[in-house]
Amino acid sequence: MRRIYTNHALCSGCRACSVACAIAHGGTAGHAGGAIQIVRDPRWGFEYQAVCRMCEDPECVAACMAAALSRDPETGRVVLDRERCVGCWMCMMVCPHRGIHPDGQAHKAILCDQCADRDVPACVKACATHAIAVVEEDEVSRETVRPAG
Amino acid sequence: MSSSIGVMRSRVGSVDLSTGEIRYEDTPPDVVRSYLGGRGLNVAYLHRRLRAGVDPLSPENLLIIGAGALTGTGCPNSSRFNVTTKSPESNILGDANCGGFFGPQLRYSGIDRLIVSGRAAHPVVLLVSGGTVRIADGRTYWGMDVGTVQAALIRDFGPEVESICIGPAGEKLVRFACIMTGVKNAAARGGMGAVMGSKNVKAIVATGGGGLEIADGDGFLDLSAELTDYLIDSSIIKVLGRVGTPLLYEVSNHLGAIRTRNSQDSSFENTLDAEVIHEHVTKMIACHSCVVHCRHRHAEHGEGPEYTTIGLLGANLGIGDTVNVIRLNDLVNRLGLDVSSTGGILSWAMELYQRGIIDDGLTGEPLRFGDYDLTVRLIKSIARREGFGDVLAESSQAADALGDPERKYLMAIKGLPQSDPHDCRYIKAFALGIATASRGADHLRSRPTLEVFNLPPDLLREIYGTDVDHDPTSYKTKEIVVATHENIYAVIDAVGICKFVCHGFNSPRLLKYEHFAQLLEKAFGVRYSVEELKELGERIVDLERVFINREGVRRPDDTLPWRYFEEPLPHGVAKGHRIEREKFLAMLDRYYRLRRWNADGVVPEERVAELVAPWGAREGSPA
Repeated sequence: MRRIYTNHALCSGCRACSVACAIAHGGTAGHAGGAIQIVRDPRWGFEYQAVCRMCEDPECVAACMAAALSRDPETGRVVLDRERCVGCWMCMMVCPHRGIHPDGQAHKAILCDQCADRDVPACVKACATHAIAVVEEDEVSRETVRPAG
Repeated sequence: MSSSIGVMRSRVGSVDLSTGEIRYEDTPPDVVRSYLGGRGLNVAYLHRRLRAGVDPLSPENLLIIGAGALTGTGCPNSSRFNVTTKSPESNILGDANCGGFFGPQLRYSGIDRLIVSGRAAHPVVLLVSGGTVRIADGRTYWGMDVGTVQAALIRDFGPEVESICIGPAGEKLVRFACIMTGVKNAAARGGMGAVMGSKNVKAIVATGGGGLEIADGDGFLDLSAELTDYLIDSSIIKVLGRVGTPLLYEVSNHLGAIRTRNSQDSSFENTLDAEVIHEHVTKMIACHSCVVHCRHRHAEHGEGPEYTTIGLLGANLGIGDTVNVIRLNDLVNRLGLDVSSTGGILSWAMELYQRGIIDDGLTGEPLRFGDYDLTVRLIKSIARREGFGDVLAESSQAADALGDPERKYLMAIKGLPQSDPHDCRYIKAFALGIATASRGADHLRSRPTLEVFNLPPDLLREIYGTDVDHDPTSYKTKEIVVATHENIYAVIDAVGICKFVCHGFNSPRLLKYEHFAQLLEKAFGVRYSVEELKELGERIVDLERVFINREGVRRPDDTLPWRYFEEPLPHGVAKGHRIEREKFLAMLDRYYRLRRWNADGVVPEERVAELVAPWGAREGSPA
């Protein structure tokens, strides 16, 4: 089982992760196309990575009226079927982690697929401060591993 | 052209604020090929579309905002854009390079370059989205300081917008008002903010979720990751990421070359050392896709101060209190003033008062170095153009009013106060670089920092392609050093990458021509050889020279402040050093020959013809 962990204290707010994700998934550089987003406000002085935490009991799946979202119990991944997504944004409203994002141009949600087809997720590879980490585990124990941030 | 196999998008939006007309076009492919983007394409447009002799604050002047060729692609440190205009401070080329997040967002909004002309009837805001530009009412924002207007724009246009804006100083046409983006990023030099204010533009807002098509996505990501790993392993990148530019303060101070009290002295207090500044830092943060994160967020919710601020608002004004310098940094950022010129003009006035050349009759109160409260009052009065501040707001053009018509005590070249806090009497290549820089006294055009490293001869040969003198105090071969750095910096500014990760600025081992060529090929499928990129750098430097030649710049303008020739440095390693005039002039001659300019520093006609040839024969230049 693959897990992506983020550490907001190490995040410099540069958005390289978002842009790399957008290139890896759509061939287009532009942070809005990334499944990982940097939420930042330089005036209030914060920046953090907002990406799907692959909840065991995901609110987004329960809220999706188009049945576009589901959870694969084998991989532990929450999966988005973009064909079925109608862009109602209910998933975004219920997600407590800001982990799912709007693709304003296609009017569909964007969800992290953990770069299942890549050795290292694009965001992890692009992060210069090592603020994003990928961990491959057969079984993730909630008792011992807590996502940072 | 023959070796180009791909296409770099170069979409231009031209806005005439007098008529409200907005036109869109793609830059002709040959012009993109020859000038790339950023600083290069900006000067290509400025030279082509602006006739000579225009008043910089008139509607006729152009304000050009252009992203670099790689800006927004996500490769290391690809955040930069340039603002280019005719400067109201120097009356020659005004060109400022800026980081932050606006440059990438401008491209994601579908426009690579904005060319703004005319003057709006009332304050406006320009909105860029989905490849179009819209002119919106900006009256409610007029009068706001930088932080307030940025917050208001986010409130009105959404949390994801990126903007550039002017503060009160730009509205009041202060000749060294800057354009701000984010808390502290500035297109600072040359009075960009005054030009924007003269056009009644309070802000330019970019929004929307588009992007740039990448030709070889996986190849580009692999290359970017490889370069990132290489860069973050570098010791200079590590230290810049830990404490930022203030580390340079100690280097200059140790040498006895930190500009102090208007360069009357060259050594100052250690209360402005990087580690002391760092006690006030809460986090180091980054510009778009930056691997360095050299920006300090400090405890009072501002960002900075940079080395330039510490130098010019600290040592240069005799202010050593760390917190006070941080507060001055925040004040100029909120008002939208260029920190370099603010410090340079204030210290000039303070020395003139010290010498009895001006008195309370003009200034209204005593001007003393080291007086923080006075400095705050003066900065505010400059931004509002009140009282004596109205005189200082004219920058170098206040020379007559200040009783120093020859600008003997002003540390400026071509009317632009010197930006680098480093005194140029010790390192001779620094001196030649600021004397010949196309926008006036400016270290970012050529700053050959490698001079202080005492590099071995074989490495110097590798860098410069020939033998150069390793001694920083020698005049020999320094024209080669300056020209080499000028050429690559021009390319760096055209691709839109930050100089901190590039060859020559802080290290000989960072990104250079071959890396830019690889990135351009993976990103857009365009091919450049190293030699072609070198030529492109020379082309930009030459065209900028053509532009300032057209505005009247000749050999006598490529000089240094009086003090650099006449007064030796008083302290440290650099003690006793000054610039010897004859040796400087001989070095300047050699520099012109290397550049193939004539003895008066003018680019020959046949070269000018080559430089404008990419536009084709259809239309002549407006000049």
